[in-house]
Amino acid sequence: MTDLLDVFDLRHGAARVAVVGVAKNAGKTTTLCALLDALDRAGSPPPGLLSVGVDGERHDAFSGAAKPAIQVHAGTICATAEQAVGRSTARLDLLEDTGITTPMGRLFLARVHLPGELLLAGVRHRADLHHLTARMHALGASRILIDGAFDRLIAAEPTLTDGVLLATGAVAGSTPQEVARCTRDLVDRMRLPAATPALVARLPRDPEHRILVLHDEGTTPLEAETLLRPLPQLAHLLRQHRPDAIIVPGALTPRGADHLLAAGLRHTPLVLPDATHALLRPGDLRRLSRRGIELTVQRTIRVLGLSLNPVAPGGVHLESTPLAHALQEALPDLPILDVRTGLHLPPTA
Amino acid sequence: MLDEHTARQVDLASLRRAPLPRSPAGQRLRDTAAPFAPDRHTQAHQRVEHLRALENALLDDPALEPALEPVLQQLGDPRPALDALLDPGPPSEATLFAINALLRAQLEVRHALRNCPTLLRLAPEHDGRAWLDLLHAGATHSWRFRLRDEHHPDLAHARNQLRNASRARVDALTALRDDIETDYAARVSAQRQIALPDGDPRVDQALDDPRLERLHASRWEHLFSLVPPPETRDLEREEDVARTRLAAVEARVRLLLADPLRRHHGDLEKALAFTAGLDLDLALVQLRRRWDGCWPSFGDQLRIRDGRLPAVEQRLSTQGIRIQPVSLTLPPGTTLLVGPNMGGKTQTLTLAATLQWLGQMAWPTPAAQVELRPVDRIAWVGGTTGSLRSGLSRFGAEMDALAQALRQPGTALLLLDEPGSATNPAEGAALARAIADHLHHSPHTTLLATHFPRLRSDQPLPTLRVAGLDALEADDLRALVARHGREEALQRIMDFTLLPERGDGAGHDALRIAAAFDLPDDLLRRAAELLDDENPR
Repeated sequence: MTDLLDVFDLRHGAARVAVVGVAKNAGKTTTLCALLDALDRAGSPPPGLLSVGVDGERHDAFSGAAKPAIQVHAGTICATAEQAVGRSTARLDLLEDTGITTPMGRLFLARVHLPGELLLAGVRHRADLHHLTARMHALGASRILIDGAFDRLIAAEPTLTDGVLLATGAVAGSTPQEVARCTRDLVDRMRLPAATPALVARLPRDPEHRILVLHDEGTTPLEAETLLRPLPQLAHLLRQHRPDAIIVPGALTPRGADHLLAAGLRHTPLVLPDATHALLRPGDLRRLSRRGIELTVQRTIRVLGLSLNPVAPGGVHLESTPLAHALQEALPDLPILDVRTGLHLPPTA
Repeated sequence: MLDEHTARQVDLASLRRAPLPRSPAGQRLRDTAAPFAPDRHTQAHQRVEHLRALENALLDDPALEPALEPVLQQLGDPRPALDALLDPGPPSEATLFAINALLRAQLEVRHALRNCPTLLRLAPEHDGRAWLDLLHAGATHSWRFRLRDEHHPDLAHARNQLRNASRARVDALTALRDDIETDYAARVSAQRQIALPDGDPRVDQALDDPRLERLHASRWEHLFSLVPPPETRDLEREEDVARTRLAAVEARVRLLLADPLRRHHGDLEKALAFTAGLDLDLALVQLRRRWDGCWPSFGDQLRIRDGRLPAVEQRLSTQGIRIQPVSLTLPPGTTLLVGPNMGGKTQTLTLAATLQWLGQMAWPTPAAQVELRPVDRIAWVGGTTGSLRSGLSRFGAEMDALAQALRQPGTALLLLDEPGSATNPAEGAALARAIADHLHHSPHTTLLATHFPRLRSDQPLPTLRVAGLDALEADDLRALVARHGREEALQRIMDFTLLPERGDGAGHDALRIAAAFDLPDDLLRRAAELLDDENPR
């Protein structure tokens, strides 16, 4: 019998796991529920549970489609809001007023004392997520599960999580090959390579929120703090020095990539904090790559595996087995599991 | 006190967030605090004295600050709870949780301040112990309010009914799941489904099994859903009834607890003002230490000794540069500020506005000494952001802002950033001169930055001059810019000291600074020749 904890090697490692989806309705909540069920059946200590964005609703806020409820067991520590407490069937003991406000009222940390369905309240800011995970650990949660928002990779940030489960499925394409291609693009984006140790050693100890150019004579900070505007200073610097790397402390957007290319940058690694800061489309990555600009990160994201959902709202239904094989061909190093049926393909590479 | 344009120039939003109270209640108080008006300077002085007393108390008793910090961290934000308590219906458990935290914080703060009678006398008359007894049903007070701890017979009964109904249903479903897993050697998913491969003999068994219902079949697999036994439907209904009953009992208990609290709503407000106020005060004392600043005093002019802009200081420190503090005195009337471009004139205007605002808030100021004359408003005239927003030209926006500043009653600190510089030089200089003269005889305090040379020589006005660039050849300056970036290079060689005007001519700083911007050499040489022609040495 397939056990999710074994498939994704979660029995011992990865104290903080994020579930993110390739798109909305990719099966994040189903995966999260399967994870909670597996932990409960394995007799693991109750986890901490929090959400990025809004989750736990019974119906999709956009499409109105029914969503699986999050079933929580006694002892689970969760982040939920004042109004969500009244709408959950699970009975909760409030532990802390976090001071964070959400559209559903103030956000509380609470412990489940009678099991049932839970409405989570989403957190939007990175700093709040860090604060909540730290408080959950302090309150005794040895493992923390983060339900990621459908369109943001923030939950995958490596300072926040030890590993990411990616929910994918029929929502990402109308054929298994299309789903596999879309999933591989996202996984490639999440698994940007680490900057070389030699470059990391040259990074400032106290990170500045400025773009830094590492070159043969030292480090020059750019006056621009973001890549939102053209970079004449970089163009000037490139005429004088051959840069060893550009350190970008914030987000790299398609427009930022345009400005780097327009300044004449080529054959230089860009170092981002982590892959969640690379907000690029596959085409942008290819444009940078053609000029010899390699995207690297200070902290890498560990993708634990793929959770498969062959059903999408609107009646699209792909067969689980061919979908799993298409994904295995595209991403042979990742385990794949359909949490609904238990179909499991181990990594082959 | 500040219009939108001025607030943006001094980055008021960041200044407001400089003190860091631990609790959202303290942060709310910080965000709504307002400067003391000139006719309330006595209260402003008393407020500063209170903060000094707190700082001294923290120095006298090193254990006080570590004792207060964790208490204030747990205060939370009782404001919405106090507002919700005024609604006639049963309050939510979160509301009672927040009020419990407030009462507990008040008690802990009183205990921490037991050796500081001057601070303790600000505490409300009621210590809230009786209401804590009420919320904890006479048991030990805790930071956490839990409704299920209340000793109400109906509550315990309703909760047990729900627990039993829920357990019976879950047990029935778990038994079904375990039986299916044993019978089919397949894992039942969290959605209570099993999948069997096509062609597997168990598929036929499952099709005949009333405990399973086929959802989907393909040439790869058959997906079955577990059919709950009929008795679980009854158990589900029982559970729903028990849940509704428990919710009703809980609402009754919450209402019982809320009634006495509502009667003492005023005392709860006082408890919030006391604890959140202490949180803000502690944050202000810590801000003074963080800035290595001073408490403001109040007099008849703005006098700043070794003032610094915190944002600039922080930015420079990341580049390994120590900020150069600035000292100035602004008596009522007009003071001129002259000096080279990028010599910190605009930052000096910002410094004056920033320290005036902080001082009138009775907040600490990043300086060695600040004495200020309270004013009704601070107004900034000049710069480009106002014109971009108003849709006027820069000159139009400048004149509009000046007219508005002069129309309003009361006294103002006026910061004029190169008035008249956005129109033709002859008219601009005449306007600037007339403005300086007019404001010199007004009740306002004005700092007017300018490059017009005639304004400096003809007006008998107090004048401050930025010392300017160190002697440096253009090539050396370019090398510095290439090494450190333009801003950092200029920071390293600019002397920002404000000196009484020496009247020694226009100087060459503008041309030397232009060299840092990578202009062609022949252009810069030609500009220097033209300057020498017009101002023979």
